[in-house]
Amino acid sequence: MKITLLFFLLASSLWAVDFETKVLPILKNSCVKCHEPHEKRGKPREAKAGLRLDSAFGIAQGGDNGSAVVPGKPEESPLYTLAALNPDDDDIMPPKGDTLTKKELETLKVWIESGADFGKWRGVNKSEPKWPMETLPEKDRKDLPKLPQKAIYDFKKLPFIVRPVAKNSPYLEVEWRGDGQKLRSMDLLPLTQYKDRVLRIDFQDLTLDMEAIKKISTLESLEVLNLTHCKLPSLKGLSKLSHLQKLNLYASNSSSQVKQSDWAKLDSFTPLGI
Amino acid sequence: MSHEISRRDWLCRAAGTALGLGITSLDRGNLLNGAWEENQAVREPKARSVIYLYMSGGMTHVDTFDPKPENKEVQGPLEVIEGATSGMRFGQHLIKTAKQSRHLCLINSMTTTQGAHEQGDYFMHTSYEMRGTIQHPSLGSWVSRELGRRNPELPASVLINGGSRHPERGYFEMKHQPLRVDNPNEGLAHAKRPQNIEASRYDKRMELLGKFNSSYEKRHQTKAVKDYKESYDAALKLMSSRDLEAFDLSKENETLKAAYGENEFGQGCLLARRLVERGVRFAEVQLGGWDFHNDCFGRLEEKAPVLDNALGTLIEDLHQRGMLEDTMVVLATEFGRTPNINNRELGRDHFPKAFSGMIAGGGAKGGHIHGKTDKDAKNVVESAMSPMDLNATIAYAMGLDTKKVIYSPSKRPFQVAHKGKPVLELF
Repeated sequence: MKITLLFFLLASSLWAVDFETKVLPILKNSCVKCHEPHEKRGKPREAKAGLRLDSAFGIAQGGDNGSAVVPGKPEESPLYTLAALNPDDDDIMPPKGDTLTKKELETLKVWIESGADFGKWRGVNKSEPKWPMETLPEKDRKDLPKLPQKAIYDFKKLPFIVRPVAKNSPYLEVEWRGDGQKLRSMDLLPLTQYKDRVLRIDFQDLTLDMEAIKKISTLESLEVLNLTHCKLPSLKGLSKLSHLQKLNLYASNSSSQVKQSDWAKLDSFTPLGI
Repeated sequence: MSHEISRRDWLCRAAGTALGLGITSLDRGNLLNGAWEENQAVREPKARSVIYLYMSGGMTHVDTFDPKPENKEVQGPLEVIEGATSGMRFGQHLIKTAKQSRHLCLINSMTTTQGAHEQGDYFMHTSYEMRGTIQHPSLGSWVSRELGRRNPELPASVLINGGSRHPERGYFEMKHQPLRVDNPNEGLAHAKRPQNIEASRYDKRMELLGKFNSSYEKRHQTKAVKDYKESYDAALKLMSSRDLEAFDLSKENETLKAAYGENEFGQGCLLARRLVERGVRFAEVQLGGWDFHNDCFGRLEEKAPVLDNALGTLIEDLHQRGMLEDTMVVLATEFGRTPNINNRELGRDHFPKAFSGMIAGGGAKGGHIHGKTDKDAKNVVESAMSPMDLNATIAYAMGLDTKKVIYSPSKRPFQVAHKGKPVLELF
């Protein structure tokens, strides 16, 4: 870790490009004329594509088409890729006049690669540049440490799919369409070791025994349990699951009765049978 | 001429048509049922699957989801029915759909810039305007690319009753092409063992084929050879898999089949439900023939009940199975139809400026109307939503990153819904 960090610091200090002296002149010369509020035939115009390159804030914010610069990734930054297109291409930037020279392109590329730092420069909008993050709301979950490699190793041996509920999420979901097979309760063991992480189980077309239900009922963070087209024992144990919001028993049968009233507190309950 | 096809021919078809070679997307390297998997969704998805109903030809908004009984000139001869949820109104043919109103989120503020069928269809499916130099992928192909398969044995994206236009994979790889099912009642073509060959004999043949191939595969370790081997293997695997049953509508009970409607669209919706149940992520079902330039009200009497039976039954069926929370049903069309009825032919013409769409399930609010048009159904006066916004909203629900920029082979930047922004009020 330390070595990587050191390398990173070295790398960026060696190759870092000073924005104000190296990059800004290129933008001023080739880009800013259109990408700031300007006049055309005496009429005021907005910056093209909603992208303002006259401030650090504007560059970081991007335009109508999304990000202009993704720090560290020149190949994903239209500011660089569109300028680097073949000059005959319809989408080349700038669309008129001289295209960027090889040296200028390299400067842009290295600046983005090294983290797209603006230094002290802010431009016409004095706000601090804000790089966009995914801003859509998500369910509040407590932060858990990353899943240990050993867990992944254990999960790989299971007959069903285990995956994080989303990219980089420490929480898990489990899925198996089992073609009528019997679920071996020992296959649930690796899950019970991470019982604060399993949010969702989708089991279809499986036979479960008491042992399996017992193991599932220890998965304390479980929110959604789909046991459809399954052969099930008594489900009494499951009432322990305090976070459960949804229980779906569609087209399954159970050795004992499952009353809807027992599950009235759930957001969603689908009874046994068809 | 014999109707039997040769073994080689059959195998090619099984791998090619049945699986669209889409089966080559088995990046996991094998077809194990289980194992650890990464997840490419950037947030917990609300909709794990989407059933996308596409009304081809331009569905009339006034006669379906945005009636204007106060304005007789626009409304024409149709009655209005009240939904089970207060404030929701439907054209008189949407009887079953109206009963499901507590699950529906009507969008009465769709607006597009495209007024011709091909362009409108393309824009709705891809979020990009048609260009001569590139073909853009449709939403289903994006889902396939970004999220991969949910069930390793079935493709991520399927198209049922597709016309000749979009959806297509565009500049994405072959494996992201939606698998086509042209007749839902026939299911997946070329996916069964030829009947004149016994299973044991068939297995022997395949074993022999494998022996012949293995030396070739050793000598030519190229991507193409690998792709073909994988698609053959996957085709064979699917043949013996219970997932093949997903394509077989004869497993459904007759009452339910009849309720969906004994027509290609109704059966297509039923098939879509079966596929989604087995882990297909994106199933599009098309219903064509909405281009009512003349005799709008006469033709609605045939068309609208087809939609109503399928849509109403689909929502109810998904709900009963406990699948509606995870499955988003979307109804989309290229544009609306003129609120003014043309007097000569009693028809309605193309009207891109304002029209309707619908979503249900997959985390969307039920009993909700988003946006509205003025009293003439001509202008969106609240919360306008473009095809790009609709696609962004669906992509958001599935957990895709709507801001992620990807590059086509020609090095141009693209986003899943172009400039579209997810409409979060719908959730």
